[in-house]
Amino acid sequence: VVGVVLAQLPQHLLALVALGLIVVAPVPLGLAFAATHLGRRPAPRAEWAIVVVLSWVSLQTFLALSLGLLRRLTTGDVLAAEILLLAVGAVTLARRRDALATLPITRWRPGGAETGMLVALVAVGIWLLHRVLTTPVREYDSLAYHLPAVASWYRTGTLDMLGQGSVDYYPYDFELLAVLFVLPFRGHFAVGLAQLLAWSLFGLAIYATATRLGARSLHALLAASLALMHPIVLRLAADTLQVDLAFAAAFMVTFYVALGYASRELHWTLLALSGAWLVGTKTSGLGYLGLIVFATLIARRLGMSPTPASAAPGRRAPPAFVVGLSLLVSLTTAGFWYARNLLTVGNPLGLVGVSLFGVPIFPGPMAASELSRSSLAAVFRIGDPRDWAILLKQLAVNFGLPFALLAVAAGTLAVTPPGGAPFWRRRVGLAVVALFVACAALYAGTPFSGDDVGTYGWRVSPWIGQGLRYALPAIGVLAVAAALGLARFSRLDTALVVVATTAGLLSLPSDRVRGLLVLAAAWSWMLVRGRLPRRGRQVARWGAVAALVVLSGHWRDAKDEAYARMFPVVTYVDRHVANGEKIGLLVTNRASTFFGTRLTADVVFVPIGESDASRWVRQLRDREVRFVGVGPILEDWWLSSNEIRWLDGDHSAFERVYGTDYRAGSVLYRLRRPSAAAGASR
Amino acid sequence: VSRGATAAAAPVKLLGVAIWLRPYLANRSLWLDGLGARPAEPA
Repeated sequence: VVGVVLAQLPQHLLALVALGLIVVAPVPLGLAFAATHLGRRPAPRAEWAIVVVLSWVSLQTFLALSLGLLRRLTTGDVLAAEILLLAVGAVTLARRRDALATLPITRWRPGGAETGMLVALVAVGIWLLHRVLTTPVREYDSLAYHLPAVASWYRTGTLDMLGQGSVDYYPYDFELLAVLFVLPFRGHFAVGLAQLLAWSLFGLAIYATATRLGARSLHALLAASLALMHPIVLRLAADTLQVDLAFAAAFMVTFYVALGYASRELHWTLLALSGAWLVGTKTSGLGYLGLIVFATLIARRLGMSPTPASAAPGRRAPPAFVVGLSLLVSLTTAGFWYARNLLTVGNPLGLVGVSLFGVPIFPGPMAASELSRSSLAAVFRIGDPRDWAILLKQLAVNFGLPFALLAVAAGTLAVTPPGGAPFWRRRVGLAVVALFVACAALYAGTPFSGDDVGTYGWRVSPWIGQGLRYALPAIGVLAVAAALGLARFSRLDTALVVVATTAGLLSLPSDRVRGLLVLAAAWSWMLVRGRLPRRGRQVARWGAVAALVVLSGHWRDAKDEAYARMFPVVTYVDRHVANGEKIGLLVTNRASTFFGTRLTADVVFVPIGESDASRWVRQLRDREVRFVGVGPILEDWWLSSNEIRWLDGDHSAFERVYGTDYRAGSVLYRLRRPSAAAGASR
Repeated sequence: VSRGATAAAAPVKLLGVAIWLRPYLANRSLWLDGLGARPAEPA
C-alpha cells in the first residue's frame, strides 16, 4: 500500500495544489469586496466571514457558469481563470493595503465553554471530512441526477443536460460548485467538499444571525452546533450530493444579510447575491426569497432595528462598478437556469405548468396543482393518530436529540421571565418565532414532502422521513430562536456543552466509535498543546499536514475501490468501454455509475422506441450509441416494456455484455454493427 | 399549579422525550460499522 501511495505522490501533490488554488483563488477578491461593504464600522468577524464566503460562492458559480456557457468548463480553463481571479484579487488587495491594515474587526477570544463546543464541532467536522473523502456517494437522487450532471459537465466542458425529463430543468448552482471539486482529482474523490462547505456555512450563518440578534456567543455556538448535528444533516453532508443543505445555508445567509439591510447596515447588493444563490440552488428558493423580501420590507418600514447596538452609522455604498458587477453576477447565477428553460421549452419552470385562477401562465405537462397535492400539508390527516405516529417517529429518527434540545431552548422564548416583558412585547423573539412558523409552513407546502406524487397512495408514510431535509431552513431559524432562548440557562454553560457534544456523537449516522476517537484526539490536542514547546507544536503541525497528504492519497484509492465494490459496473466501463464510445441509458436511477471511475465515458439518455424494434435500433445507431445501459429498474411497468423485451429477446441487434439482473443492478448491452447483426440474423 | 406538581412534571416530560427518542437511539450497529464490515451495498 505504501509503495503505491508513494508512486502516485507527485501526481497527488499536483492535484492537491490545484485544489488549493481553486479554494484560495477567490479569497483576496472576496476580502476586497467585503472591505467595500464593511470597511468603516467595526464589524464582527462572523460578518466578514459571511460576506467573504458569499462572494466566494458567487464568484465561483459565475466563473463555472461563464466557462460552461463558452463550452470550456475544463480543468485547464478553470485553473487559468482561477489564477486570473487570484491575480486580480492580489493586486486589488495590495493597492488597498493601508486601508486594510486599519480595519476595525472586532476580536473574538473563545472562553472555556466555547472552546469545548468548538472542539466537539471540529471533531464532527473531521469525522465528516474523512467520511466524504472515503465513502462514495450512494444516495438515490444523487446517483440519479445530481452526480450525473456533475459528471456530464466535467466530461464535456459544457452545461448540457443528459435528457432525463423533468430533472433537466432544475436549477443547478450547487452542482456547478461540485464540478470545481471534481476537476483536480479527475473523479469523485473530493466532490463531497462542496457539501462540507455548505455544512460549515449553515453553521456560520446561524451563529452570525443569532449573535446579531443579541444572543451570547456561546449560546449562538451551541445552537449552531446542534443544528449541524442533526442526523439528517450529517447524512446529507456525508453520503449525498443533494442540494438541501446548501439551500438551507443560502437561506440563513440571506436571512443574515436581510437583517443587515433592514437595519440599514448592509447594502442591498449583498441581498441580491445571496438571494440569487437561494434561487439558483433550488426552485423552492423563489418562495423562501419572497418570504425574506416581504419580512425585510416590513422590518424596514417599521424602522425595526434588530441589532441592539446598531446606533453606529457608517454604512457605505460600494462603488458603482461593484454594484454593477454584483448585479450581473446575481442575475446570471440565479437567472441562467430559468432563462434556459424559457428558451428551450417556453417555461422558466421547465415542465411544471402554472396557472393562476384557472388561466394558464406557463404551459407544462406537470401541473403545479398536481405537484402540490404531494406536499405534507396536503396528505397529512390531522385527526388520524397513524399519521401523527409516523411523523413523530420520523422526526425522532432524522432530527433526534439535537432537535429536541433546540425545541426546548426555543420554547423558553414563549415563557415570560419573572419580572420581564411578556413574549409578545419582545419584538426580536416574536419576529424569529414568526419566521420559523412561516418556514415550517413553506416546508409543509413543498412538493414531495408528503408523497412521491402518488407512489404511496397520497398518504403519510415513512417516506416523509427523507423529505424532512426540506425543513432545514426552518431548523436554521429554530436554532436562532434557541440561541436567544438559551439566555435562560446562562448558569449551565458546561452542562450544555456536554449535552450538545453527546447529542452530536449520538447523531453520527455511522462509525460512532471513530467519532469518539476523533473527539478524544481533539481534546487531548487541546490539553497537551499549551504544554508543548513552540518547536514541538510546529513539528506536530507539519507532521499532521504531511500525514494528511499521504493519507489522502490512500483514501483516494480506497474510495475508488469502495466505489467499484458498490457499483461493479464502473469497473466494466473503465476496462471495456473505449473513450468516445457512447452509452445510451434507457432506464436507471444510477446514471452516474455508467460514467466510470474517472468520469470519462460518453453517456446520454436515449428516447424510448415507438413500437418498432428495427426503427429504434436505427435511431440508436444514428445517435452513434454503442452500448445501451439499463437498471436498476424499480418500476414494474418498465420490466414489461417493449424496449426491455427487444434488448433481452432474440433480436440480434443487442448482445448482453455486462450484468445479469436489471432489477437489482446495472446491465449493459452492446449494439452490434449492422453487418454483424445482419449476418447473425441470417 | 403547586410547586410539587411542577417538580413532578419535569421527570415525566423527560421520560416522554426519552420514549420518543427511542428509534433515534436504537441502532446499536452504528457504533461498530466502519471498523468491521461495511454496510451492505444498496439494492
